[in-house]
Amino acid sequence: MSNSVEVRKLSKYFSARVSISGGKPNWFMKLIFGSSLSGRVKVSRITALDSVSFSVKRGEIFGLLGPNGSGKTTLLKILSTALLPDEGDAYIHGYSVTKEAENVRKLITTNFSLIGNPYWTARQMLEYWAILNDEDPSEIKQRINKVLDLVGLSERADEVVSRYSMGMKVRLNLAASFLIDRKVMLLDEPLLGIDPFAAKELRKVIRDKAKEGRTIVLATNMIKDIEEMCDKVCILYKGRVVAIGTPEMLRKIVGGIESVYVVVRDISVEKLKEALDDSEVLTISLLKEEVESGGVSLKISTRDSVLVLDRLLDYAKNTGGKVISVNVSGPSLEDVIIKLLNKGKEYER
Amino acid sequence: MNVRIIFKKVMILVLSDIRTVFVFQFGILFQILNIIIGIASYYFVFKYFLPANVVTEYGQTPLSFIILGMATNSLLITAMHSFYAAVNNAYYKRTLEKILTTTTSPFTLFLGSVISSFLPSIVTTITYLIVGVLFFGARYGDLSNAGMALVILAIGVVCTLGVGILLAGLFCISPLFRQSSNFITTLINLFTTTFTGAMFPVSVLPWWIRAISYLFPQTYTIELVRLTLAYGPNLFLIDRVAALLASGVMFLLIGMFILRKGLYKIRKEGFVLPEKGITLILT
Repeated sequence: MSNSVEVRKLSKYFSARVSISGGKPNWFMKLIFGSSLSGRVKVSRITALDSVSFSVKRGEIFGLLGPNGSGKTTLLKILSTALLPDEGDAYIHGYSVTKEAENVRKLITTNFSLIGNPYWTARQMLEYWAILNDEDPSEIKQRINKVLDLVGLSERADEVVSRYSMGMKVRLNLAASFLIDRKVMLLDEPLLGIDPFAAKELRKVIRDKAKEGRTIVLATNMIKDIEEMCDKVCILYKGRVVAIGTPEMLRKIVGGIESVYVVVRDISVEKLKEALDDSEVLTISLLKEEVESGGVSLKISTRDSVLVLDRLLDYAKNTGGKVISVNVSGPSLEDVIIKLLNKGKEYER
Repeated sequence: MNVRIIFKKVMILVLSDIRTVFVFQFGILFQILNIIIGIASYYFVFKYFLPANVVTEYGQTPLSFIILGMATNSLLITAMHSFYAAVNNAYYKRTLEKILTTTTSPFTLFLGSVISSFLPSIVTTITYLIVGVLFFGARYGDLSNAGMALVILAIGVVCTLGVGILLAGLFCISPLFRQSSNFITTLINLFTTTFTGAMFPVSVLPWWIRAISYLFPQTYTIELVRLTLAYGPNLFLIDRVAALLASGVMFLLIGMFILRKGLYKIRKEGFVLPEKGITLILT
């Protein structure tokens, strides 16, 4: 399998003019330039992407994950040719996004570029979008019906878009990306704000698109998206790549973290925390407290579940508490990602 | 580049804009009412305060002079403003950023927007002329010269588009211009409406304002439309036609050059929208 998307040492910087407090506003400048240049102004450089490299094979779903401001959207915009990088380059099926943008545009479809008027219906928006993307007019109507059906908007396709809820707008954008039949799909938060039932269905649709041979690069903040869809994940933090690999590989990189789920009764959580203090416990979180039975559900993340259970049972025996149930599982992807992001923060410091 | 496909896209853009215009049906009625009130005010000003000999050179009454000027200027203002407005809108509504991910050139988008802004403007121009004749007895010259005057007007409109393209280019290339663009374009609009001969002959202006006026293709266009209607195609108009073409070509060439550079710069710097006290980068 050859590479469908190749990103090589991509860097992007933005400059931001920030008003410095204490500067005297100049009424003339304020009148002409508006409020943004009033007072003293400082120009600062923001690193959006810092030498990011990765490759995505054909038919793969590649997830970009990271906190807000980590550079996911900037990266997608560069891949979609809307934005130019300051250093490095990226290639879609061998075409450079900086030098051969016109060829790249014939290969991509996005869910963040739908153009139209809020007074139009979803169907009108999609018709317009298809024409802007040079889709075959004889097939458009039939395909619009199909994609509207896929995203569950068929029944409201002839309503004006301004009346849509946020979730429906997200679905419409996704429909726009499905409508344009291209080799590479660039999706930015494709399921944001969509209810869990519909999200599950749509994840399957996206997976099917990849099975049909399309390459998908998607930015998301939802672990579920990564777990259920992505073959590979790239974790970004402040524009830097923290880790790249399959979800399984990432679990191995972090290694050894286990989650111990326990239900206890007649045990003080605070005192238990103290008792487990030196037993490789990373976090203890309270999941549920049942007032009537006095039972408390806890999740303990640890590197040594045997030691934790040993201490827990000892503590219960000594204090007269009861351990009602115990369940030990490997590290969740969420734990792995949080751990990797913490490593990114440490590296930054 | 397939011209048929571009034409089709432009027409779809225009039709979609018309669809939007019809959402605000009363806008057109108010526009017509605005024109009638505007002409009425000039009618009374000329009737009671101004001597008729100011505009004898053009063979028209002062009121006909001003109505024809306003009608012509309505199209020229659109020509100057539409391209700039198309780029400005596309930038702030982020359509420009989005169109860059499609196989459609941003110029096609702009062209569609420019053509659709001419439609209400043509209605305005025709309304000016008809209201002038029907309600205020205006006469614009020899109607057999109307065809030639229309050709001149069409050339003038294309030349004036160059001014708009230059403004659009400056908007794209300079963040400082972008932040002060409303101020600057209002100033240019005011200047071109007042000092390019729409309401009074440029010859009455002081030499230094006249010099600036003659930089703009609008000044030649308005003068040529009036003179062509009065005297027909005439040799003594040749120097003005040449000046109009020179001014138009200059603006078009410089404008296109700066606009191309500006669009590249926008792709480089991202889409920056100003907000209170801080410039937010929304990428």
